[in-house]
Amino acid sequence: MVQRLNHTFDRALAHVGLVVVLAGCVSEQQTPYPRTPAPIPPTSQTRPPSQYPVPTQPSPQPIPQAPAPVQPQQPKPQSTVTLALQDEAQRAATAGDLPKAIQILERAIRIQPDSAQLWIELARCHLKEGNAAQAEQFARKALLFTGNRYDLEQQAWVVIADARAEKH
Amino acid sequence: MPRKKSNPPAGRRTRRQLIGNVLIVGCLGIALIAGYLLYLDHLITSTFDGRRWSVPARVYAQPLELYPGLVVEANEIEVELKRLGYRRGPLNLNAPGNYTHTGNEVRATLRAFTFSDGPRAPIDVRARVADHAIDTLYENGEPASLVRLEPPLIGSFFASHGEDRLIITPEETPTLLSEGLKAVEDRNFDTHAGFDLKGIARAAIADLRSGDLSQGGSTLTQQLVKSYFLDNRRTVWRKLKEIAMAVILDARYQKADLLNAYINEIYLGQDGERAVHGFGLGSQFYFNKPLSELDPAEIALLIAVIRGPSYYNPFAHPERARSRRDLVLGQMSEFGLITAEQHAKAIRQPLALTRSARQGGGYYPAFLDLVRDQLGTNYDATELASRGYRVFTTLEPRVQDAAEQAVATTLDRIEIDRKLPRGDLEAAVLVANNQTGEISAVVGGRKAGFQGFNRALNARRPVGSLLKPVVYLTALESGDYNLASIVEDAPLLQTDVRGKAPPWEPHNFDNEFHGPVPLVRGLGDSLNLATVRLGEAVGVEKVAARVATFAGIEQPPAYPSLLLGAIDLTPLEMTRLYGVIASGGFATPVKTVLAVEDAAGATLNRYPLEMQQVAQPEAVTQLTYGLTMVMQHGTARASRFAMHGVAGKTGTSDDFRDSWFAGFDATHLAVVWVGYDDNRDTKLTGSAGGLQVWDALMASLHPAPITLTTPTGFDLQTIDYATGGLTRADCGEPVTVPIPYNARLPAVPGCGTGFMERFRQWFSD
Repeated sequence: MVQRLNHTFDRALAHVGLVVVLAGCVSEQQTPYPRTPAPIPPTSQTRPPSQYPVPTQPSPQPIPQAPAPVQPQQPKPQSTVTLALQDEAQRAATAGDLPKAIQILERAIRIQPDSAQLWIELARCHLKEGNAAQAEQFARKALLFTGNRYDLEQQAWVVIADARAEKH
Repeated sequence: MPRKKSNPPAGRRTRRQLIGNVLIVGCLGIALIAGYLLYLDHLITSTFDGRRWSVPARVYAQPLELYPGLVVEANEIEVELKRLGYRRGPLNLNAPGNYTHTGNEVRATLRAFTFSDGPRAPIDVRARVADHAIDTLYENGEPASLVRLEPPLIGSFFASHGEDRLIITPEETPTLLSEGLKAVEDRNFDTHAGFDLKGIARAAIADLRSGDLSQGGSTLTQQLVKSYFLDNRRTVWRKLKEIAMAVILDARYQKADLLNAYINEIYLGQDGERAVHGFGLGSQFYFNKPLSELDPAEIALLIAVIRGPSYYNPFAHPERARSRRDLVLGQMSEFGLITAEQHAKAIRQPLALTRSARQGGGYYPAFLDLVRDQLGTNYDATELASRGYRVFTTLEPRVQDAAEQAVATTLDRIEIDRKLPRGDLEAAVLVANNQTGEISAVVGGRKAGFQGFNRALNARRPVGSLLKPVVYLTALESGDYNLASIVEDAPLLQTDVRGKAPPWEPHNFDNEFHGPVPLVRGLGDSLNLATVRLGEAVGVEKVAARVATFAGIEQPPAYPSLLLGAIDLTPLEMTRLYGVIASGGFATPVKTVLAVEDAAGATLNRYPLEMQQVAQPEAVTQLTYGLTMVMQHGTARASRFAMHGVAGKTGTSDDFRDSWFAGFDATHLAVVWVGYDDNRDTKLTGSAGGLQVWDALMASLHPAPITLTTPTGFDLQTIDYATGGLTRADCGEPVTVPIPYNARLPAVPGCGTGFMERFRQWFSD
């Protein structure tokens, strides 16, 4: 299982062509991933907005007449509340209790449903548990909340790639 | 004849035979009786052992999570504590269950609880609220990041017409209850052998004196036997059998076990279809608090009720119940169980019943229907009614109560304001978590506490304009449209080419034609003709397929009238459909159960999150912008939250039979239906009915604006709501929505955004 995971993992990395920091449910990687407002790792391909191929929105302007839906350029930093739960989930996953890790992550998601980190972590746990189909879905869910955190975006895509590899 | 001589005389012979026969019959009789007693022994011990643990599954709601930053008021925390039976009083970690609330600080000693992810010992928690949110949180004096209250108990799965109970251990039994029971019901309980001749004699004398049959003379053990076999026929044989069983029980078990069994077994009242058994549930039923927290007058009332739960029903016959309670208090005082002062105080106390609005067994019957559906695939009814399982669900009691309250007050107000007949209007509400799809609340009708027709799950009603967002989403997903794209709101007449169907000629709500309008306005003003044209351009078949996927139903026939919501769906199906929008494009199965545990706390089943991406996130984001414009400029602009950055859509079916609203803020999606069960005209639009309920609900939930990221490849542009042309913030009716960066929009004449305009804006920023 670990062998196979490693294998698919390598393939996925090669596929994406990136070095990303991974943690949590992929337990062989123990480095915790950066927490906001930590700097984005230099290895990730972060581009300043001006270099990005599609024009990003102009400076956030208030929508006339009414408060608009909130426009986050930066995703909200993950709260210390859910960070504590994420650590707990990570410990459970490392101890091999994936169902418990998933349960704790779901609890964290109920508190902070727009945290890309939590969804990525949940996706990893499902992938490790052998549920590639749901892992992909949760990684896709994470993509809704990555904002301009391209490191998180990449992490989500890695899980998607792994999940796809696992399925085939 | 020596032989003859040796024979005994005939008389002696018959006597001996007789003795022999008697002996044989006697032995047989003894054997029979012994056998029968053995049978009784087996019957009573197996019943006793079996019944002691026959406990219906308990259903729990989600616990309230407290953490710094949680948007909540101090009094809302207090409400939550009260729901859990906490009372204002001195704090003591050794006797948890009390709280204090001073100014903006709430402090409580939380009880121990075994959560599905592990146990927690009693803790002292202190939360300070500032600016409508928790500012600081302490657990046992240390700063804490997260503390959860216990999950509230919201119901149990007793068998139909069956018994429900809350098991009380000997340690949890107040001494006044056990001693009081003995004093009133069975004074020699500690010494008799299950049967009490002295007690019978005393009861008989008392009955003779008073002239009625109020004194029973049955021991607690006999009452226990009687309760097990539910037999009230008063025959000598039954009585003997009852006594025999009582004696057997007494010989077999400790007095403490028998008393505990009695305390958990005895029938204390009827709650709709549910028989209230035992003092644990009795305490909750009559006083809405745990047994350990009852005062002497309350304990006395429960003891008083035993003798005749319907005759002494304190709800129906308060006078009777009170005079018997006072009798019990008198005996407690006589036996020195309470002091004279306690007695004097207690008899002055009113009955102080908590007449729960929730009758009929389930505290939240509409929600429990959904729980039952989800559990039904894995567990059968007998299992749920007997094995003492714990079921952890997604219900948020705070949200549920807000939804019930919103329905009750809004329907009353609408009927008064509009001079409609009182009490006829009905409603259904479902609330779900946007991102997980978990169901937070279900209201199945106006009388939410009663088991009845569950409209949230079972009322199939035409959805009208509530379906239109699917048409717009299908168009946006095709890539050929954006919110500024123009569609013609002009007359339509469709004839069936085969001549079989009558011609179809839809009209707008205002019976007018609005000419070329942008999509954002077609959706916002819910324009029928624009929507039909758009739907036909993208393909009715495609829209029908989307409806089926989103709502989790069979694909409906692709008639053009589908585009205007000519389809009957339940509020639950509409919740699934809108869940796809609120979640950014993910469909989730209906989910109410998180985990099931057996009586020992071992997990039997976990139900993890499940979802499937079914819609393009970019299209969903555009649609959601459109739905915020429904609130700000369109048919829902009467909402008190129109300008709060929330999204929603009104729906009105033909002839005002159904008034719908579906909307969401950053956390919760709520779908509301208002109408009459007999389908008559409500005279209410979606805005005048469903939206009013939704507003009232959201008002209790502190709505937060939706977070929307501009999709990659899009720019936020300010366009004119009426015409779709580019405009300035101070020109026409400007709305800001995401537009593909390569889309070329005409400018509204006189409202240009040329260089000079931008130049001016730089300086005004």
